[in-house]
Amino acid sequence: MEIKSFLADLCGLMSVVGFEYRDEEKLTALVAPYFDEHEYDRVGNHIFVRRCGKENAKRLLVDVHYDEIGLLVKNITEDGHLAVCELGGFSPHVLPASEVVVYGKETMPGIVLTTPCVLKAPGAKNSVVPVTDLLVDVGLTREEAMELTPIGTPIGYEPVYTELENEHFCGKGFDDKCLIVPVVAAVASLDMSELDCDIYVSLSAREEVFQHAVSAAAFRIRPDAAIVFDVEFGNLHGTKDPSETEVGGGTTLTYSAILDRELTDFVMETAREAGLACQPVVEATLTGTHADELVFAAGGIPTVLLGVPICYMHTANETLALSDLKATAKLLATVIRERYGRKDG
Amino acid sequence: MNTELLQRLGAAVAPSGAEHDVAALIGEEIAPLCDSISYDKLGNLIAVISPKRGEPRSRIMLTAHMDEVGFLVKSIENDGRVRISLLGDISTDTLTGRRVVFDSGAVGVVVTKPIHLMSGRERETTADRDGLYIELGNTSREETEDIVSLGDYGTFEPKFTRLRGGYVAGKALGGRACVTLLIDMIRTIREKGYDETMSDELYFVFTVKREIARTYYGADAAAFALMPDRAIVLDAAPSADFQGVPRERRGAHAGGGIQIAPADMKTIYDRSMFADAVECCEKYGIPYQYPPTADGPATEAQTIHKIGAGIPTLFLGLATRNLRSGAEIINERDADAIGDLLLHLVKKERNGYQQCLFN
Repeated sequence: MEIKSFLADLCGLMSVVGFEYRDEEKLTALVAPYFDEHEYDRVGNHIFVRRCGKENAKRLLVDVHYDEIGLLVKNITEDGHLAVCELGGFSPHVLPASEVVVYGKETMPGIVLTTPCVLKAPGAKNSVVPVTDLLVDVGLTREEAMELTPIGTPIGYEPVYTELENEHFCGKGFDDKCLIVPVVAAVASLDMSELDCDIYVSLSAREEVFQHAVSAAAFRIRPDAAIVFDVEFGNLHGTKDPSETEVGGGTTLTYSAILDRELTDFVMETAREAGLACQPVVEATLTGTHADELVFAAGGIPTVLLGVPICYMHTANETLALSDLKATAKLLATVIRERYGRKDG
Repeated sequence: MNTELLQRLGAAVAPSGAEHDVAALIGEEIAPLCDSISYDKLGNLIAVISPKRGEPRSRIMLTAHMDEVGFLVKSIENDGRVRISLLGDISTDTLTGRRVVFDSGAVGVVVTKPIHLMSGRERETTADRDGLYIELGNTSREETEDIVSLGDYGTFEPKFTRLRGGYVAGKALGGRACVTLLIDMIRTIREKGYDETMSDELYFVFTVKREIARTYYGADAAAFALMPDRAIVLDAAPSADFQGVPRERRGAHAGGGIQIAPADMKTIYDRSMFADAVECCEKYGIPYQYPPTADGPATEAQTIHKIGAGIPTLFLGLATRNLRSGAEIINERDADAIGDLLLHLVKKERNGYQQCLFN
């Protein structure tokens, strides 16, 4: 697995929340070779399975959401510009004059319109235009736009991946697809004959707006435990905000009242013994991730929450350190081996 | 318009004062086509085409600026990030969270907080012009100093996007399209042999430092040195021609033809040149538009028309949406209209418009 291209190929997929199915086949083609089974469920989750071959084996669910934020055409102006609403939370500071991809009847580039400073009203220079007032220009007339990019058309960030210094990468969709990379790498690296569990990797849909699609996967799998992966707020320069962790500082691990403390401690201890960095994050109750759903899904599942830090979350230039992905792959593989290693010899 | 050339010119990193790369590209294009090309002391690139027959009747200066907005490296922090000073009238919300390039080739991202961590106030106002940082992926000052130095220039990442309907988008496209139009004009004059019949000497001036607001150093110096009889200024005309913007603030309409202004905030254009340009458009069916108000943004003409004993000046504007952002949007038809008009104005026609304008 060439990690950089795997990362760009995965994160570059069109997976605007609610429209994840558009690149369903491409996602399957990228991930399925590493697994024994693949199933695409009714709500859009991809479930990839590796089995240990043992009767009544334990079932471990590993969850990564593969949707991402996007915009939705809500109206078309007289001039043919696309008025939008948000699917997931956008910062209004990053959209003006940015390049987007409009996934209409034809896929086409678009540019978010902004008023140049010289035409702004005095006093309005520093004011932010709410996302719901922004327009996307695709160069079509109203009639053409009604045909090619009708109301309800999804719009996403442009997939462009750039390598910064020291193996840092920036681009769109790292939330949360970047974590598919270490999960697939870790699970693919395991010798299943040495384990006592089947591993269900759920690449889950619709996290950015509903967070409940993963429950459907849990209902069918009935896992004994779940490991949720989601990105954390990162900073490349040490922790500045109490909510931030260090990009390049290793895997993040969340402590929360809703998560399974025994499993959380086990992961932390395993990381320590293996000499792998693990950055603690504390959320008193809800974590804002799929963990919040899984803890009480399908009769309740002991759940642990891991991730990697990324900068500039929900922008077209989310930034991460490749080293964190590599370390996370090692940690997950180690945790699974330690926890589910075959005991009967 | 030669969009392949536009794309190449648009990719050059050339904020005001760092125009050398784009100037070199322009020089390569036009050197074999002009009677002479030279740089003045400020860095303006001046190309001359003289009539092949007889003494020139008058000397016409045509300008398009080479530079663009961007930033300079103000300081390098201990943690490896770069603080920048903005150059030009950039709205910070077109910069935060975006990729940028330095003239050294380094690439970075302009730092922004994720929406989840912003306070209510932070969500409502754009980032402070003086508070912008660029992330390069380094964690120490030493690492960053290896690739970026104080005073280095940078700008939006070059990008060329072809939209539908003849619109194209990218950084600096409004200005560079005007440059491209002058280069196209030079080429056409030579290829079609207009220099055999034209009676005016043409000075094509690719100016520097236009984006340093209110001064227009480059155009000022060139006009003083050349002291032409007339001048034609080409530049982007700001456009916000979309829903939600009051009519009087919409500026030029992209796709609506050449913007020919009778006046703007700082210049009253030469009446006969203005009238001739409009008449020429009417005669040849070239699309044109007036600005929606007479107090539009100033252009290089504000300086040029006051040089010496006064230089009658005409402004031809190329409507540009998202002006001074990483994705300026222009329409190729508007650019082609300007190109057509310029050629009609230099073609010799005994009873035509050329005589009115260039006498």
